[in-house]
Amino acid sequence: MRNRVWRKYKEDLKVIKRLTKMSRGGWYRGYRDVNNILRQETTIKDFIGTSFNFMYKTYTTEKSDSKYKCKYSPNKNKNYYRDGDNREKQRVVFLKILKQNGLK
Amino acid sequence: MDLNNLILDNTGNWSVKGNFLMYKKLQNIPMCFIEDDIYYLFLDVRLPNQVLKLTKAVMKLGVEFYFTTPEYSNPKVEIDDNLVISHYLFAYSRPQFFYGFDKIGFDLIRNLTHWMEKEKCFHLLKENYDNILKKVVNRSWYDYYSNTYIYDCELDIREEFSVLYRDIQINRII
Repeated sequence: MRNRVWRKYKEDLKVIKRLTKMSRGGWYRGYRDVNNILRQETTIKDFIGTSFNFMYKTYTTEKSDSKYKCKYSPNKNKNYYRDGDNREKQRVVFLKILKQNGLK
Repeated sequence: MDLNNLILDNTGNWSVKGNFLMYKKLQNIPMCFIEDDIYYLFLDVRLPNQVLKLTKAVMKLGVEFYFTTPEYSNPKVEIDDNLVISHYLFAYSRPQFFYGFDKIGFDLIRNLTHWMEKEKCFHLLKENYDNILKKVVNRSWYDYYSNTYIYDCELDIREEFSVLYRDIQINRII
C-alpha cells in the first residue's frame, strides 16, 4: 500500500504546500528563477529547480512545525497544551492508580 | 504534425493541453509547441533531462526545430529576439545542457546560428554575448582564505565561451 509511489506523492504534497507558502510572501525586488527570468509575482512553477525546491524535499517535521499542533481535541485551542494538564499525563496517572489497586 | 507523437512514455507526466506539450513536475510545465510547421522547444533549465529527451525525439523525426525561452509560454510577454538569443547562451552556460547536448550529439550553437539567419537578427548577437560572458559565465568572487578567484561556471564552459563568438561566425560562413 504505502510504497515508493505513495511516499513520492506525499512528498510532492508537502513540497507544494511549502512552495505555495513561499510564493505568497512576495519579493521586494522580484525573484530571479533558474531560467534567469525576473518574476515580480511568483508562483510555484518559478521555484522548481531552485535551492528552495531541493531544500523542501524532506518529509521530516521540525519542532517549529509541530509546536502548535494539538494531537487531542480537548486541548485544541491551547498552544502549549503539553505544558498543562492533558490526556497523555492523565493516562499515566490512571495506569498508576490501576497498578496500585492490582487491576493491571 | 502532431504533438501527441512527442509523448515519450506512458508515465502520465506528458500531456498535450491546447497548443502546448506539457510535462508535469509538481505542476504542468510547457515544453513544446508548433508554429508555421516548425517545432519550438522551450529551453527550460527546470527540466534539463526532459528537454534533452525531447530534443533527441525531435531529431529522430527529422523536422525543422528551434529553441525558445520559457517566458514565451506566457501569452502576455511580447516576442523579442534579444530574449531568445540571451536565453540560448544562458542555457548553454548551464552544465546540464553544456554536457547534455554534447552527449546526445546535438550542436546548440549551430541551431542558434540557423535561427538567427532565419530571423535575420545577427546584429543582436554581440551585445547579448558580451552581456552573458560578463554577468553569467565570468562571474566570480574572491576567496580570501585560499587567495584565489572562484567562478560560478566550470573551466570547460569558460574556455568554450571565450571562443564562442568566433565559432558562431565560422558556423555562419559554413
